[in-house]
Amino acid sequence: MDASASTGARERWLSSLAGSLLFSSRFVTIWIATAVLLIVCQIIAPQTLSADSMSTLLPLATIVAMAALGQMLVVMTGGIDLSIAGTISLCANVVVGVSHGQNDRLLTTVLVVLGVAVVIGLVNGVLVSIVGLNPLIVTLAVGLVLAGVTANYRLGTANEAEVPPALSTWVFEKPLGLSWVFWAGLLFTILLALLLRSTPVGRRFQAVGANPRAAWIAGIHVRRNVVVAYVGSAVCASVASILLAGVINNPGSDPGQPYLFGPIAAVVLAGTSLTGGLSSVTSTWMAAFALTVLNQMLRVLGLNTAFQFIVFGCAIVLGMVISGDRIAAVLGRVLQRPRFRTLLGEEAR
Amino acid sequence: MTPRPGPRPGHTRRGREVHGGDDRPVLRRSRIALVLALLAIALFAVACGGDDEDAGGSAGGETTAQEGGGEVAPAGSAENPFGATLANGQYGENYNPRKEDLERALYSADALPSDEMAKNIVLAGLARVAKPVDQDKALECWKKNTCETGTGGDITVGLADGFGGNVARQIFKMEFILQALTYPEVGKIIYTDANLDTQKAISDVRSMIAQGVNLMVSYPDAGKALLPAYKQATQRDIPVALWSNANIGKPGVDYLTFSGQDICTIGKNYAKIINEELPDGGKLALLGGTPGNTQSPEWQKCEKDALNPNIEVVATADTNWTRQGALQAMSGILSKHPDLDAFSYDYGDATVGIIRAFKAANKPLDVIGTVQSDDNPLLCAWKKEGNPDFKVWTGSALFTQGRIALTAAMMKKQGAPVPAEIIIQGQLSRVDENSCRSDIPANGSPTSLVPPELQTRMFGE
Repeated sequence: MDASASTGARERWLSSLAGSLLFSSRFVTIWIATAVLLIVCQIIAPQTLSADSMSTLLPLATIVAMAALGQMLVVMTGGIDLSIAGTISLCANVVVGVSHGQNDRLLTTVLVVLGVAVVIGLVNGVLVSIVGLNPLIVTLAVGLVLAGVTANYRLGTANEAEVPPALSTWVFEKPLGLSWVFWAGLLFTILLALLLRSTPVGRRFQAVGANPRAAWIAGIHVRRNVVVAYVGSAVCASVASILLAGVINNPGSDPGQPYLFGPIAAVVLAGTSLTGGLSSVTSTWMAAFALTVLNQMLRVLGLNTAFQFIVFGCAIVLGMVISGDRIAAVLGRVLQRPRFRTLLGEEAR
Repeated sequence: MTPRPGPRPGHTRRGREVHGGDDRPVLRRSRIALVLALLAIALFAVACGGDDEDAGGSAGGETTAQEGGGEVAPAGSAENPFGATLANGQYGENYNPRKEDLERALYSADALPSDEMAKNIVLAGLARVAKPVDQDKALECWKKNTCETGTGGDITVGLADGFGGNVARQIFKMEFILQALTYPEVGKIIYTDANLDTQKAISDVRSMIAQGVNLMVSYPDAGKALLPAYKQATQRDIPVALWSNANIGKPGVDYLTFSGQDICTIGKNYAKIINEELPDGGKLALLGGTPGNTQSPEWQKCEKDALNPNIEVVATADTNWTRQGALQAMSGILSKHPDLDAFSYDYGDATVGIIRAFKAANKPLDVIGTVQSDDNPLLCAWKKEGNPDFKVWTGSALFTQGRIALTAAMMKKQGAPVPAEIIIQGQLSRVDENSCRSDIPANGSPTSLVPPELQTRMFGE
């Protein structure tokens, strides 16, 4: 009896270990890849990780991370949001236009920007979820509309050329040696992680992402959750736009343009499947950080822009080849083999 | 079955003649003879015309020039302070601009082109700034894409802009409109904005040809892809004048001319200042625009060639001509070279991003900067810094190039020989306390010839 009980316990432990391995392999890859990148960086371009470099790098990484977290919410539902760049461009200009460069209008500005983002998210969400249009085309079209609105809006805001000084000063202040933008981004990330992992709302959202049909059968409002994902994406993009406007002081006509591809790359590198499913907030943040470090490293190395594009593109392809999503699939196949199933105490078929 | 014959010339199936009777060809031959005789007389008259230099003008244009032209006043005299070689009135233009207009647009007369005719065209373009213009009409035209000037003139002018989405280009547009409104013969202005879309830029030019514009000014953002469209216009005798030194095709052949800066001179001027300010040598970073643009590498090469050997170019980076790009580029450079002494760049507005990079790295702005355009945001950001060790020189943003391009095309219509290049020699000016202008919009340009009150109405209402 004792022997069989101990065998059962061992199998349960092995089974649990295999499950954890399968789950974590999806998200842990980016942490390992980032560690490798930092080591490479330390060897070939150590200045990238200097305090001076970090003072610009961390705010910019946080902005990419904010946009990536929004994208992650949408990708979890099996969708994609290509209007993030347009949302950032419009919201960053709204920051300048509404604030009139005055500190006392900052709160109003933030509320207006969030309001604009909610409207954009609702439009995307309703068109995708309720009307049932293809998210790729819908969000691309909405992005185009936003680009037009921004261009038109910007002409009327030329007089208010800068963000409030309180915002532009705040972004470069460094409590504990790191920018406020970084701390704000970190707080936002932790709150989002807690929301998704530890609250009923977050759990329901994850259930929709993992298996919409099962979630629907379980009585969860799938469509409502999809709309929430698009609204969440736009709100994240608007937070990114406020930070970005603060960093560059006057956002120009199309500040969102660099954020079309980066956030999607960060989400995929972090192990989220583009067909939807579970994802990790912290891994997404780490992927955004890694991409920004890579970019900065290429700049510090002084490579010409053409070569920077090539290296950056190749790095993303390599990242996708070894992305957590693929590794999890390979591990899953391995664990399905009869030998392992027997080892884990499951009956081989 | 034999094939049914078709109608032969001169016959119809009903037996009626399609063409004229037998007497018509005789009449036509006599008309042709008359025309040839008149042509021969005209050619003889032209040949006897002596030393008239007009290469491309019509007979009508010459008549206007001769009618309007008087004696050329001596160079340096009150009537001709800038040394024009055409008399006021020739080709319908005045060549004596107000000194303040010239200095606002070009900093000094030294910037005038070395080529005589190009210089005349620039002077004519600037002289038109003094003409009164209905600002309400200008504002109306600026807000619309097509507008009637109200003069009833029979000339339609087109502005095919490759991009209109920033304040600078909107000021360019207004400069063009103000210049067009000084010509009573211009009855209609058509404007298009391709928004950096190459296909749209090409179709904009072609649609202007189809709409029957008489001349066209264009900013070739799409580069060489636009050449076939420009050639098509040129073949239809529509003068196409470009602004900016786009370095595409053969100016004078593929299109009428371009009005732009000598890019190499910009680099040489930068080098001169860096050499003077860093006699003991130092580290210099060169920042450019979008990857693959032809302008930035050209001035950078000329600057490198003219630098003292003790000046080390430690970095060359692209910025996409955006503040964000400039911030990221300078941040990378500062990481590796925290002791940077100077930078050279070609866009004033995005230089604000460079200042932000120094702020982010918490470094004092003790650097020398040479920048091509004097955009107000840079000038005001410099003033706000209040750092005497942050020494910046800027060149004129040259919004006047659009005006000059239009005047060149109008003079061509009047029969003037327009040179293939109208090259302005870029000048640099040290930024000081008075450079930041509060009477124009924050994003405006101090070197624009759009009156400050109109700039405010454009962007402030």
